[in-house]
Amino acid sequence: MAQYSDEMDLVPFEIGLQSNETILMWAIGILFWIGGFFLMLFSVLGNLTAFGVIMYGLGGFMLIASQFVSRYNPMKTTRIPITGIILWVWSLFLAFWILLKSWSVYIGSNTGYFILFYLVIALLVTGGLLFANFLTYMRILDWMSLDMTAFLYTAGGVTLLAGIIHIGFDNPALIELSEVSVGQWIMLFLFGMAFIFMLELFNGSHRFNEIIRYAKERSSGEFSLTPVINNYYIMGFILSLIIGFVVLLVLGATFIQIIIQYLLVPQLADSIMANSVYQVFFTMAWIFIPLWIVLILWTEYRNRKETAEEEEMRRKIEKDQRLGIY
Amino acid sequence: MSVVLTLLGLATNNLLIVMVALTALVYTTVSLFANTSTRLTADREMSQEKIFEDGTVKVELRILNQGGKTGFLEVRDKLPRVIQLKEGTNYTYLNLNPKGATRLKYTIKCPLKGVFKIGPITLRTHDPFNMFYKEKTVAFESDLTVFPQVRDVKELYIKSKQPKMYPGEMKVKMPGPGTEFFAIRDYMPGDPFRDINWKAYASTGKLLVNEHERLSVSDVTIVFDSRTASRYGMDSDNANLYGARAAATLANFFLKRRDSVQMVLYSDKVLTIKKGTGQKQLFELLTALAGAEPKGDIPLSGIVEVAIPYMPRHSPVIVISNLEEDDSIRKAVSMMMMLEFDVTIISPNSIEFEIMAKQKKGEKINPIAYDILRLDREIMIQELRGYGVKVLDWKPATPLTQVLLEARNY
Repeated sequence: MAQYSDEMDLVPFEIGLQSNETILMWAIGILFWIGGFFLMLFSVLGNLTAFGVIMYGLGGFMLIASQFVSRYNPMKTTRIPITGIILWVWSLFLAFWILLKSWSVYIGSNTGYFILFYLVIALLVTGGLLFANFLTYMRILDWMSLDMTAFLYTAGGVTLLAGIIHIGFDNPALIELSEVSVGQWIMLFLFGMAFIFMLELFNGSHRFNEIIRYAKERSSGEFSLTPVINNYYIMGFILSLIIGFVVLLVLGATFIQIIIQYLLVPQLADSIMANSVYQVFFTMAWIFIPLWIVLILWTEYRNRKETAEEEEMRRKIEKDQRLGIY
Repeated sequence: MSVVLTLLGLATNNLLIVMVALTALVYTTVSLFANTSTRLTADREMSQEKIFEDGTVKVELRILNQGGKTGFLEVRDKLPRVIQLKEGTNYTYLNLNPKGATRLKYTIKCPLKGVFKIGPITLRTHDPFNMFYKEKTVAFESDLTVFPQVRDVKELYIKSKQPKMYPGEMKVKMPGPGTEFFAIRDYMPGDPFRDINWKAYASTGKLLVNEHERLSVSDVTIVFDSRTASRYGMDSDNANLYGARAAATLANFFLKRRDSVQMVLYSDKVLTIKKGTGQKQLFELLTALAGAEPKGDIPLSGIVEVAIPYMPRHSPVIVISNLEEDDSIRKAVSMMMMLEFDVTIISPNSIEFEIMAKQKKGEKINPIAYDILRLDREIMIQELRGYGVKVLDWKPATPLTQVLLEARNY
């Protein structure tokens, strides 16, 4: 976004929520964060790892911190992608504990081998990333170097997810679908929804704050985002219902699939694979793969149509400008 | 994220992770399906297309939605860096209903001269979750010409040694048609009676007549230096901008006096505006000055060699240059003086512009280095004065009118 005066960037740090209009969004996000924790607690029957809980809490705090808008842009002060490197190191640190848990639960062999294995993998990946960043056009670290608020938002999301995955790995009871109670299914469904909406609300709030800040800096007149945010609430609510319905539809289809399997091929229905998350995956696959094909074709069709329209409009403007209409 | 989570959930056979993946997948799919219409058109109307520096222009942007609901629509009308927003905004975020239209009004202030392009218009539609966006650029650009400021000058001490026969407003130190008193002389047969000075006759007993100072027109040539070197300083304070203001002021003054003015503008190429008079000529000169960007490094001597055949002998030539990075200045000036042109150099002091820019940025200044540069410049100015040229050294803090008054001292 172009700015006339560079002096704005000299303001080192500005803390505070930018607008009353986004506070509600931010507050609902916090409610989803806290609610999500209890839903996860109930869905794993109280079996939470300390690391998972800490990461869930820390991730949430990072997301909240991302709402405190900063004008500090590390990309402007240094050529080294500092936030990208910090984010990468942070992800490596989290990945270690998650993979260690996975190793101990699913493989169970010596931890020493794991550390050695992990170090080799981490070094190779880090080296590859640095090589790609500084020597080729694939500047992944640069891409990861966001401004401070976006960095906190990304790091918060990664941390939260790390906590959830860690807790998930510590609950192998969830492997067997037949062992999962209806109450647990409901809790898992609600948890999934809460997690997504929390991320979405923090993202929306962050984005609107950015827009308000930019608009206030650039305009001297009145600027109100209230109608847009109200529309966001209404449309968001409608789409939440649709998302909830579709998730339930997938889960319902999974149960119908299990019943059909029992009726048609009882041997398959009794197999370990059919009693695991693979059953949900199959349902997801047959629903979403055709849906995405339709979506891709439809988007392609729409893009072509719009490109043709744009071309026509461009020609019309050129013609009008030649005639001196504009 | 949803694909990675799905694969992770599958690899570890974990329902908690698969549930998060499923929700994320549904969320992404619904958001993509809900991506809204981008069948939008936009155009712009401006209250003026040609203004003077510090002038304001009202801009109205019209956006028409030809499709369904837009969801969140981000509209931005691109403005050049040096143009300031005075009122309203060139950026907004709104919802548009099907077939809906909206107008975005804003006022811009143009503090610096130049030829600018307003636009293109960027329209960005977001899905209701603000997750995906689609950008569309309406390649509709409007030209805006900002003329350099013209100051009001009452008197200018730059005159032609060889006036033309047509009456004008330039006072020439010789008797002729005019209104101002010049001298008294003996009555000659044929002198009009109204010119007889009766008071002088009463006291001397001789018929004496009043003579008037001749008012005439002349041809003036302005040579404007728009080389890269004229950029030194800040965007808002540099020799190019100051020089253009001086050239515009002088052109306006001479044209008002009914003189004919021609201009030679040199940067990476030479632009010559043939001599002419009146408002049309002023408009042409101002347009040329507005578009004079600092670039190129053509030497002044080259310009003089090409332009001399078109410059009327003994006429005033005003060179507006910061005298930097051009070794041919002495040669060019001596050539003009040899051919008896009345040369005046108005020289915006680029060294002071540079110091001012550094001070504003808070950069360190090496005083010795700048003292040497100042000394170099002073030597050059003294040498040029030695040729009989009027050189006006223009420091940033001095107003243009005061600099022009200095010409009186020569």
